[in-house]
Amino acid sequence: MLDPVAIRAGLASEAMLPVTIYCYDQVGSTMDVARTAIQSLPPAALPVLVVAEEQTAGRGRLGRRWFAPPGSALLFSLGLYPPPIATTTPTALIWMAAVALIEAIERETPLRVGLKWPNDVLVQTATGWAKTAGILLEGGWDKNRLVWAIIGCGVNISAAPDPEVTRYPATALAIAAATPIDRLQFLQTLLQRYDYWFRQLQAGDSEFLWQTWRNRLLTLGQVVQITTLTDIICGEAIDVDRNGSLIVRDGSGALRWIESGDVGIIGDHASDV
Amino acid sequence: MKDETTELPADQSDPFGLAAVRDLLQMLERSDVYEITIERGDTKLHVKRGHAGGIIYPTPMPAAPTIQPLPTTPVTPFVQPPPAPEGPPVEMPAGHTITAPMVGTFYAAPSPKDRPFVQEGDEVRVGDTVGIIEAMKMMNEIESEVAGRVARILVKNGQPVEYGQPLMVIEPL
Repeated sequence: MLDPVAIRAGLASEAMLPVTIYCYDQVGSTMDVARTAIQSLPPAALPVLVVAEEQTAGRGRLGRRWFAPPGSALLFSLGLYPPPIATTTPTALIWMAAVALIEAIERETPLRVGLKWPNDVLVQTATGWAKTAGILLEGGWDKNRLVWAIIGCGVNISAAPDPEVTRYPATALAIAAATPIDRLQFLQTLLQRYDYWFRQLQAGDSEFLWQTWRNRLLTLGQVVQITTLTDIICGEAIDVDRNGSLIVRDGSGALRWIESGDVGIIGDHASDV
Repeated sequence: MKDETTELPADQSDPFGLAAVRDLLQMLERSDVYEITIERGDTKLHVKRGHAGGIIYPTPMPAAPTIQPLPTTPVTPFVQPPPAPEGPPVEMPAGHTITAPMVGTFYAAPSPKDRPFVQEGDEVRVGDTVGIIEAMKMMNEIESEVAGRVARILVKNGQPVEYGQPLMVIEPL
């Protein structure tokens, strides 16, 4: 089982995050534990990292269940007060979560890594791109400012979910890379990348992070289908804007700005992405 | 694969008539016209393109998964000033109006299987979650800033919302 002392041992002493680390054998959801921790801890004790070997009520977007056998995944939530720049541009935290994970996978495995808008981290396998992690963000607002945020992340390390229950081809890092992955070392590398980008945001700079995130998007240039609760939009994903919205040119030639929805990639490159 | 989110109704209330504005903008983009004013009763809608012959949208940058020089388009803040609708506002009950702090998709419940956070007639306390707005897979909880009773809910589950758009009216008790 991962423990706070071991995790801390691999981090720089001057790291800004995490300040507090909690490790559990089993929790309902690390998101809920992090939420309680944000409410109960003094501000100086944040960011708080909550790690669990197993979740009994892990969740993804729109309450979708997240399954992983005990110890097979890296399951954590990072609760924080957002840097000032992210209180009005909270999508910077989404870019941070995705970019840090991409960089950690590249440092710890030989895998080729890409990003499906806005934050699905994919690795290349013999049969195409597959999802190896899920990222979920929750935030609380007061008077038009983001006051707290939790980045939730589940990384499949040694076991992939049953393909019957996933919405997208899924794998695990150790399976895709065909080599064992040390969970502790992977978490430490990931936290170092979080720390790097968190410092950039604390310094008021989201530009380099946005550039890095944008450059990793496999979605751009592809024909996509976006499913929202009310609409299905088809067209070419031509770019993202500075807020992170996906800009799609639909069949009539009109530009559509997409802020949310499930993005599926169709058309000529469907087998690649 | 089955998408559990597509079964919900497409019905939308649109107090600012933003759908009409969006349609007009698309019509403008496909035509030579760069200014339209529509008046109906005491409601007036005036849409003008930034410059004649151009497109009202920001210039898209070429898509490329490679490193590119810094783009020069200005940074648009995530939070933008609320739209200033012309004409009289939609009739609303008296009370405190909770507005959307961002552009996104409104959800009335934590998941499609859950009950709504609040329904009309419910009492809420300060800090109670009344809905979620999703933007780029970030689930943003919207809290009530006042205690009272939910007098009117102005948005539907799954509805796209604009910055500053009224979500619900809380009648203080």
